Amino acid sequence: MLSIRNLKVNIGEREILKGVNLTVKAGEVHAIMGPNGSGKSTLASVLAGRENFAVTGGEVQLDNKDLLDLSPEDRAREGVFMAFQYPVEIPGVSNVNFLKTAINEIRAYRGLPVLEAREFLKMVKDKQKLVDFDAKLANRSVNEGFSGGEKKRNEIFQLAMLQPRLAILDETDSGLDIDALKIVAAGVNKLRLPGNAFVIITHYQRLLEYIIPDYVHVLYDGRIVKSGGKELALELEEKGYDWLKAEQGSVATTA
Amino acid sequence: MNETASLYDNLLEEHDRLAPVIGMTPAGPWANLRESAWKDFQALQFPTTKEEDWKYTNIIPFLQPHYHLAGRNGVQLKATDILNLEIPDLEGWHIVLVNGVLHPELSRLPDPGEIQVCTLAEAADLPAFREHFGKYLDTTKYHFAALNTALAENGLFIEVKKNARIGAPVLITHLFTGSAPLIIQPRNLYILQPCSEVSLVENFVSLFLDEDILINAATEMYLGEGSTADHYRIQDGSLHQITINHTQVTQADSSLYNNHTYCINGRFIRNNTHVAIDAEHAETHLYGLYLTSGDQLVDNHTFVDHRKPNSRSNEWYKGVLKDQSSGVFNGKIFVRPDAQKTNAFQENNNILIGALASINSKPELEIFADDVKCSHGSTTGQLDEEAAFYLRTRGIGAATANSLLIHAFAYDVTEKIRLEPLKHYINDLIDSKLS
Repeated sequence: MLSIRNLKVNIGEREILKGVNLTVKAGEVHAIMGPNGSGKSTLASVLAGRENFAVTGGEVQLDNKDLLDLSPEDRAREGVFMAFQYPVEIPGVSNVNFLKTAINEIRAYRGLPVLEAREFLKMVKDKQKLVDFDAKLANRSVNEGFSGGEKKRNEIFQLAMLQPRLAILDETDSGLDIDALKIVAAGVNKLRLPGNAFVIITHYQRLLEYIIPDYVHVLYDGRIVKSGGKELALELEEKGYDWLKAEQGSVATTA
Repeated sequence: MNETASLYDNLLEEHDRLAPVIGMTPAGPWANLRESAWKDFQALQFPTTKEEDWKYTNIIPFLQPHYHLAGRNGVQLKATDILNLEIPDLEGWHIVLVNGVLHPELSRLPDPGEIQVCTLAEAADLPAFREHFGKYLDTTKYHFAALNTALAENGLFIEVKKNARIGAPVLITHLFTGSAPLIIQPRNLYILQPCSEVSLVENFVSLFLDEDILINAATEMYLGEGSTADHYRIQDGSLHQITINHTQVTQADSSLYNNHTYCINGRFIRNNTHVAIDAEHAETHLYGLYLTSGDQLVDNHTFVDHRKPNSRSNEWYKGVLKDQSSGVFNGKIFVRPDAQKTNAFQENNNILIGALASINSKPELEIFADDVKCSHGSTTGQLDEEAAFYLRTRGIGAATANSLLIHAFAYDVTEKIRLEPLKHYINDLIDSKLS
């Protein structure tokens, strides 16, 4: 589904991603871990189409379509979703109206008719229940005055509504207490389907206790330096990232 | 050659030609007023940027010498021409004026027992006319109000009778049309007798307009004791329209005045919206939204004059300016020494889209009473790019995302519209203006 090959990205003069390779197949959950400043959030932002990054090399394909050529909205219409680390507050735009607009623009792109009001409202109700999202919040302005946890839960609610094929969760666990974390994880688990895939970006192993990944990758200094199964996350939790830094340092010297 | 001087010179000539035509004879309606206003205009002439009130708006380039006074220039329109001027689902009365002249045959006039609607000339002998006409506009200070008072041909008179509560909104379509460079000077007097209530929706539009026109409108409005007016104004003209609109509202005790002004289209708009709260326990709300693009220049000067104690005023103007358009907001609040316990609030927020758009925003508070609550704020910024990006990552196109954000920005103003069909109509106008 997603194929990232030798992706290199700069912010200004500084190279942040130095050749990232990653292949994600339908039905899989991949976790990308790594210390602060390793380039995790940059990877998420570049995939979502944020514009203040310069891609200097490599390619990203979503089902053989070049993702980097597309605008952020077209990526979403092709089935990419990013749950933000810091969801934006938009006073005056109601959550429900925003989602209706989004769904209908996505449907128009795919040649589907506008969703009828009744169908849409039923969908809102169903998905609210599915991911345990407060109906009162759905009718408020997008994220306005929401707590940190409510904002993250709204991201998962949007994820449920938009039904993307590829969901990227950028540090969705940051700032969540354990109860909120469980609710968010339970929502994600209900949305796992054979046809879609998740890339979960996180600093800590904690979230991965509730969302069990198929693969864990370690991003360090702009490259994926280690990949493994879910046990790799536990190993990182135990040892921290320092041993990796040492290992990488020695690789660099021997090279 | 100074072009202003030449339009001014033309007016001097036309004045002599038109005086007998428009009834500027000693026996004509408001003859004395006309005469003194004409003297005032000759003393004031046209304003330049040297005057504080016109510092940021240079009107001189818009006062070209090719304009001529309309002079009873009859325009024939059919009922079918104005069908599109109805506001969908806004069920109520419809008063149609063409170039400032009332056309009863194109209108749906209300029951005269509740609201009297006629031309100013027809109203000249009514007690309400004699009591209020020309009593509130200061022609010694305001150039265009003086010119209007001196040379207005006719206009609209509305009197809402005592205790009449008009449920259906009254739509007033000010239609401008023509194929000659005219100066059109609508002159209106709206009176709410005590304890009456009305919603007036003034829609300024143009039809078959293929020459520049200069509209110099002046309206006096009086709210009697305990009366309530919802006063909506939509300025949606063509690029041929140069509009100067002076509105003087005077409120009596315990009256409520809500003004909603939407400046959408038109090459040049200057609004003077002045409210004299000559009253206790009165309340005033001024809401405004201006959306400008291209070369538009929109200037809103508001003046809230608190003359007596215990009244409240609240003002919120918002602007979105695109391309190389420019805007001016000048909000004056005047609290006189007697006006203790006044509560006055003012806010002006602007969004500039692109590097060339500009706004001059100036709050002007003059407070001469010591036991009052007054506050003001002014902000100017850009559209929130992070919010736009967020919307786009959900599949919403860039243009729709911007439109959603601008609607959200304007929401504080548009949500105050109490007539649902009108709110819908204005939201559509905002959409089509932005796309």
